[in-house]
Amino acid sequence: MKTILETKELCKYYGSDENLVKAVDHVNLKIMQGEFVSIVGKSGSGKSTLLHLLGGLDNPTSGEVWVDGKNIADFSKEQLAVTRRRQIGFVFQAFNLVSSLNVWENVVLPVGLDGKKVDEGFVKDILRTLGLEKKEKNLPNTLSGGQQQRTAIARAIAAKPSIVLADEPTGNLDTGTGDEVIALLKLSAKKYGQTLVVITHNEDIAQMADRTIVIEDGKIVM
Amino acid sequence: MTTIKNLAISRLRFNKSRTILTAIAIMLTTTLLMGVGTSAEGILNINRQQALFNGNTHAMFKSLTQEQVKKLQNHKDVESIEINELFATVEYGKMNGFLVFHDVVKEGIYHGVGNLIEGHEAQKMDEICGPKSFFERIGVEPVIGNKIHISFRPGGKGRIETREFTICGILSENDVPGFDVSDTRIAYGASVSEALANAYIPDKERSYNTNIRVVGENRLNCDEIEKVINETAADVGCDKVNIILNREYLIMQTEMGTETKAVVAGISLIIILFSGLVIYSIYYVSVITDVQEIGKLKALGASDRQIKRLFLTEGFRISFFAVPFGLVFGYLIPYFALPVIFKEAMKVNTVADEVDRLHMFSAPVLALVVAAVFVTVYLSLIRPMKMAAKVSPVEAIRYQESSRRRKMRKGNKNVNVFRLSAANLVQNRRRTLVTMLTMGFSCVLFMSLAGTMNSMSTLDMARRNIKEGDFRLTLDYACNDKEYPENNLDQLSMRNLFSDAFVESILQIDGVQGVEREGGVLIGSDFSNELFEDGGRISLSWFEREDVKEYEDGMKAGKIDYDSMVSGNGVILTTVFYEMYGMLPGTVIPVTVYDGDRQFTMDVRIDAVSPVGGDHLLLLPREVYERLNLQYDSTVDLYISIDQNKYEEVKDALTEIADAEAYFRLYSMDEEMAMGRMSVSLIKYPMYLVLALVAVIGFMNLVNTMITSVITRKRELGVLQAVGLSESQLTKMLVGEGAIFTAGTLAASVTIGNLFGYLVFLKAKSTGFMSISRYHYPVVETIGLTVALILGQIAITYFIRHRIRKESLIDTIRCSE
Ligand SMILES: Nc1ncnc2c1ncn2[C@@H]1O[C@H](COP(=O)(O)OP(=O)(O)O)[C@@H](O)[C@H]1O
Ligand SMILES: [Mg+2]
Repeated sequence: MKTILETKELCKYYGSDENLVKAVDHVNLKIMQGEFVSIVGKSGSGKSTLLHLLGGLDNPTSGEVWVDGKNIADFSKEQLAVTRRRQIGFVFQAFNLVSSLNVWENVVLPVGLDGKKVDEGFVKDILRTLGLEKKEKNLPNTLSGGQQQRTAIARAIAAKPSIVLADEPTGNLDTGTGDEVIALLKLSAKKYGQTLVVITHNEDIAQMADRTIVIEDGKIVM
Repeated sequence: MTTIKNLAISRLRFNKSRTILTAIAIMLTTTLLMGVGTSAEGILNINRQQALFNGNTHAMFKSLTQEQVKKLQNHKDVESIEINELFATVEYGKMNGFLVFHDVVKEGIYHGVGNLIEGHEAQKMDEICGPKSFFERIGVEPVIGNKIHISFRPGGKGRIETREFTICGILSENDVPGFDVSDTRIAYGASVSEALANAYIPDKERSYNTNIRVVGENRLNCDEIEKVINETAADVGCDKVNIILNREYLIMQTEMGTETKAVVAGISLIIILFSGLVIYSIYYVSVITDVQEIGKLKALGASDRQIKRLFLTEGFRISFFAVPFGLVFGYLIPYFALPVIFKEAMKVNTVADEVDRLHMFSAPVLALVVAAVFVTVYLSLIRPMKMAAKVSPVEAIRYQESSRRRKMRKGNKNVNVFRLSAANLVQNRRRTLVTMLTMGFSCVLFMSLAGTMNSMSTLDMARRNIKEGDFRLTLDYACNDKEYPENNLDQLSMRNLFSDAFVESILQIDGVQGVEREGGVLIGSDFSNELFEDGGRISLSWFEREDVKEYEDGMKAGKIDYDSMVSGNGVILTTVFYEMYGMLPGTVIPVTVYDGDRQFTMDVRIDAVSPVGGDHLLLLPREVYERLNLQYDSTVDLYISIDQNKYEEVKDALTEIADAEAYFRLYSMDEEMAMGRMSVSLIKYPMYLVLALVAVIGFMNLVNTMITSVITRKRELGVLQAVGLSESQLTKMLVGEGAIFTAGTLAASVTIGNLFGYLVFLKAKSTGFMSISRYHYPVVETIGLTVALILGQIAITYFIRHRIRKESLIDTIRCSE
C-alpha cells in the first residue's frame, strides 16, 4: 500500500530558553492510503499542532512533512493552498462554517475555490449520506451542533480529497451524536477511499480506528 | 464604576484599530469645526481692521455749537466724541489747503489715517501738526522743529493773515495716488492749536464737525444704532441733514458679523451632521459586531445601564484624547493659511492696505467647538448604546454577529470568490448599507458643491465687467449726486466726452480693431418705490434682437417678444428685486428722461425681468431707444476689441487716455481675468480643503467597516484558508467587497450628487453668487473623486491584507478553539 502522509524528524517548538515548549518533538510517522488513524493524548500534548503541520497550515521548526510523495516545504503558498483544497479536507472542533453561506455553498466551497464545476450528483449523494438533504438552503446559525459538524464533514469530503484531517470533531457534541458523526465520517471515508486522521479524547472512537497513535509531550509514545 | 472604566480602557486597547479610527474621526471633526470657527474669527478680524481703516466713528454731526458739544458730552448714549473745526483756508497759489482745530473730547475714536506718528499735537499758538505732504506742498521740509510761514483766512472769509508756525507733529496719510490727479482735486489739511482758534474765532461763531460713537455697538444691529444716533442728534438739536452716518463701518460691524456667524453656523451644522453620522456608523458597526461580547457581559450580570455607560465611557475617553489634537490643528491651519490667502486677496482688492497681526483666537469659539464635539459624540452614541443595552445574554452563546430572522439563503449552485464577498455583504447588509450611505453622503456633498464651484468661471466673472472685446472704457458717472451734480450722467453727457472724434482717436491706436458704443440715459419717475424716492433716478439703456436669447436664459419673470416691445415701449428689468420694487411684468411706468439739460416724459412697460448683470436697470429695444432722439450723445461705455499681439501697447495707450480724464475708468481683460481667477480660487480651494477633510472622515468609516468585517471574520478567514482559499483569492475577495462599496458610493455620488449639484447651482445662480451663470459639469472633479475612491479602496484592501498576512494562519484558526 502507498504511503500518503509521512513526517521525518518533525519538530515544532514555541518560545525559547525556560519557556521553550516542544509541542511536537521529533515525530516520525507514516500513514498509508485508506488508513483510519486516531490520535489520542492529554490536553496540551501537541495533537492539534501535529495535525496542523500535517495539513500544511503551520510551518515546522525543523523536519519534513511529505504529502503523497512530495515534501510540502518545497511548495509555494499558492501551491499549498491548492494542495489543501484538492488533497486535504479539514474538520475542526467548532466554527467550521462560513456564516454567510448556506449549507450547500459551504460544502461546495473548496470545489468553487478551485474554479471547478461542482459535481452536483456527488454532493447530493454526500448530503444524503450525512442526512442533510433537507438543509441545503439553511444558514449555519439555524443548524444544531451535530448538523454543523456533519456539514463540515460533507465539505471535507466534497472535493474528493485523499486525506481528511479532523481535530476533535465530536468535542462539542453529546456522545450519541458524536458517535453518529464519526460513524458517518468513517463510512464516507470508506465509500470514497479516503485516508482519515482523527484527534479524539473518546475511547470508543479511538477503538474504531485501524491504528491509534498516542502522543505525550510532543512525542509519539505508542 | 471603576470596573466599567477599566473594562472600557481594556476594550479600547483590545480594539486598537477601531479606537484609532474613531479617534481620527473625532479629531478631524474637531479640526474642521475649530478651523471654520477660527477662520471666521480671522475674517471678522480682517473686516474689523478694514473698517477701522476708515475710522470707527459711528456718525458725524456737522456744524455743532459749543453748547451742543457740551450736551453731547453729557449724553448717556454717547461713548466717544471728537471735534474738528475748520479754522481757516490756506492761501498758497492754487493749493487746496485748510487748517483745522482738532480735539478729543471723549476718547475712543480711531482713524485709519491722520494719526500722530511723530511729535505731539499742536498746543501753543504757533504750533502746527500735519501730514508730510502738506508741508512739502508749501515747500518746507517736513521735519519737526522747522519753521513755516502760512497765509490763511480764518473761517474761509475775511482778511488774509500770515503767521510763522513751528512743525510740532507729523500725521499719517494715505499714499499719494500713483496716477496724475489735478492738484486742485487734492485737499491738504493740517491742525493747529485751540489757542489759535480761540484767538481768531469768537465763541458764538464756533462750529464743530463732531465725530461720535454711541454705546451698544456690540449688541445693537445697524438699524438700531442708526435710531440711537438720530435720537441723540434730536436731543442735542442737530438737524437731520447734518448727520452723516459712517454706514460702511456700521454695516461691517453689525451685519457682517451676523452674516458671517450665520454662514459659519450653517457650515458647522453640516460638519456636525456629517461627522455625527460617521461616528454613529462606526459605533453602530461596532455594536453589531460586539454582540457576543456584550452578551457575555450581560450573562455575567452587567445591567443595561452599565452596558450603556461602558460605551459612553469609551466614546468620551477617545474624545478626551482626540479633541485637543483637533483643536490645535484646527487653530494652526487657518493661523498659517489665512494671512496667505488674505495677502493674495489684497492683490485684487484695494480697500485696505495693511492688516496688522490677525487675532483669530477666541475662547468662546474654543468652548463652543469642544461642546459641539462632545454633544456630537454623545448624540451619535445614543442609538448604538440602546442597541447594545438590548442585546440578550443568549446572543453570547450563538456565534453569529447578531441573531437575524434570516434562516435560509437561496444561494448558488457554484461558489466563487466574488459570490463569497457578495454573500458576506448581504449577510451584514445593515452594516454595508450604513457604510455605503455615509460614504455616499460625503461624495454627494462633494459633487454637489463641485458643480457649483466648477461653474465659477473666470471668464464669466471677467465678462461681468467687460461684456465684449478686450477693454472697456467707461464713464464713472453718478445718478443722484445732489452735492456735486456735475458727476451725474445728465450733466456729463453734455460734455460729450465720447465724441466721434474721440472714438476715432481710439480707433487710430495701432492694434485696435473695433469699438462698440453702449449708451444709457437717466430717468426719474413718480412711480412710488425705493428707486424713485426723493427724486431718485436710474439709468436706462438698450438691447438688440440678437441679445434676446441671452436675456431669455436668465429670465425670472415675464416674456420677451421683441416686436411687441418695440411697438409698446416694452422694457427688460435687470434686477432680482423686482417684487420689492413693485415692478412686476405688465406694470406701466411713467418716466422722465433726463437728456442733458432737456427733459421729456414717456411711458415704459415692464415686459420681462432678467437679471443678467450690467449697469442699467432698464433696457429698451434698440429701435425704441434710437427713436427717443436724444440730443446729447448718451454713450457711457466703449467696448474695444483689439489684435491680441498688440495687447500691451494698446493697454498703455488706453491707460494714458483714461488717466487724462477723471471721469474715465478703464477695465482691461487681463486684470479682470486675474481678479476672477483670484476670487474663484479664494473660494474654491478653501472649500475643497473642507470637502477633502469631510471625505477623509467619510473614508474612516469605510476603513472601519472593512477592518471590522475582517476582524470579526478572523476565524472564518482561517477556515476559508484551511479549505484552500489561497492568498490571491483572499485578496480578490477583499477587493471584491471593497469594490461593491466603491461602486455603491460612486453610483450615489454621480446620480444623487450631480442632481443635488445642479440644484445647488441653480440656487447659487439665482442668488447671484460669484456671478455664476453657466453650468459647467465637474468633469475633473468626477474623475478625481472616482480615482481617489478607487485608490483609497485599494490602499485599505492592501493594508488589511498586510495585517492578515502578519498573523499566521494557524493563529486565526486557534482563536476559535
Ligand atoms: N502559538 C503558540 N504559542 C505558544 N505555545 C503554543 C502555541 N500553540 C500551541 N502551543 C503550545 O503547544 C502545546 C501543544 O498544544 P496543542 O497542540 O494545541 O495541544 P493539544 O491539541 O494536544 O491539546 C501546548 O503546550 C500549547 O500551550
Ligand atoms: Mg487540540
